Amino acid sequence: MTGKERYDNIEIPARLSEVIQQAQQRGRMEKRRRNVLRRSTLTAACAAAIMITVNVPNVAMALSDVPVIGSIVKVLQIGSGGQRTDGVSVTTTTEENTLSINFSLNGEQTSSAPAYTVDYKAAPDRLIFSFYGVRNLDYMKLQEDIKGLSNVKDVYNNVILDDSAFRFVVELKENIGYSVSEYQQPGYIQLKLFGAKKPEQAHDVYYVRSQAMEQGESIAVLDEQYAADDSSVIKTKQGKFIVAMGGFKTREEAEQHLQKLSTREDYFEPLHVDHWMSNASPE
Amino acid sequence: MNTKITEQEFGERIEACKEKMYRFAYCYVKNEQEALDIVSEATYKAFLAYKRMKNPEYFESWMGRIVINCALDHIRRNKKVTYLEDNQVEFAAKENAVSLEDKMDLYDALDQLDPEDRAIIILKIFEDQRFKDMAGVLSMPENTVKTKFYRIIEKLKKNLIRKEVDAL
Repeated sequence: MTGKERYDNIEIPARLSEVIQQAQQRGRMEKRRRNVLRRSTLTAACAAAIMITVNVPNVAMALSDVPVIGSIVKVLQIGSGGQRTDGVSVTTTTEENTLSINFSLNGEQTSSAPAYTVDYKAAPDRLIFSFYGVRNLDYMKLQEDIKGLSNVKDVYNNVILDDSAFRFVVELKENIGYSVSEYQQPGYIQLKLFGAKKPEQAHDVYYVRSQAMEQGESIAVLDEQYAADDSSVIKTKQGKFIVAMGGFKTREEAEQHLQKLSTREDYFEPLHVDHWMSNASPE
Repeated sequence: MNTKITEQEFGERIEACKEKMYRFAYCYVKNEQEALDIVSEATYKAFLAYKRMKNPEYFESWMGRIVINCALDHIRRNKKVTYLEDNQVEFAAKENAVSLEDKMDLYDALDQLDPEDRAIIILKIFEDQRFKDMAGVLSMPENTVKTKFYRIIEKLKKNLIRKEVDAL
């Protein structure tokens, strides 16, 4: 038998597919961990700026009028928390302007929330929730519950390239304050919305954006590509979706950012500069 | 135009080339568990990087390069390097044979090659790849691949002759 014949006859182990599946799952978990870390770093870096533009509620406001079950882990405006897990089911309940996001595994409430991030973005005012290690989620119920809150303008999900993660966006009405509280024993997250004290004057905001696309993997790939550039997916007035970066005060700043992006090797989807009012959605 | 592959496409492409990956890895370590470890590590690394792949149409070449790098890392970690010069194992020479492949079992000869050189023999002799395609996998100019290939063959031939003379 020649060397080539011996090579062709190398026995393929039955568990090769299983090993490959496990390696992909390991990669998936690592990506998720990196995403959480990256978003935590980004959000921490811009937390001070956000604190100025958003009316910050105190802990008492976050907890008032809500019967507390379990112990509080943290109250946050933006940031991350929870424990790494897999296969968690998500359900929601509402009470006036408070949304509770509950988690269960094998029919029992989990003792802590799964890994999550909360981001705030302006123009329009949005809260972006990402949950990692969740698989069973009744999105219609979640959407219905959130839309039922009087301070919410719209709710939509973002497709992300991780089938064990889920991201949704809560678009707020004008001048609405919020707090997010994480609890344990049992683990749940509570979003509380309330009228902000100091109304902000609407102003022009400049963005580097993609063309409008239907919801799907293409926009998810683009969002992931620019995740480190603080990108987000925004729903347009026509109901399509764009990837946008910025929130620049001037067109020049946005143009400069676009110029920088366009010189990158992985720049393949044409982006352009656009502007809209801080209280409006893009075209 | 978006040319990036999706997670599902990545899974399908890995599945399609898994046997080739395994054989490749096995040639470096000649051990099932270690070969599976290399394939696992290569798949993991590829999963983290496939979004940055510039030419998804060359997925197999890209994967091949990752498997080679993982195999080399594995060998370095386990210090299982044996070089041709140090080899005490004699290759089985056949009378009246013409080509090197006929005179020598290159599958065994791989073990005595510098780990960096093994990929060249695997790709050329076992995978029947063209030098141009090999250059893509190995990330080196086509002429360099040719030069290296002929240098390795010459090295093997000289060793074979030396063994035959010693046996007289």
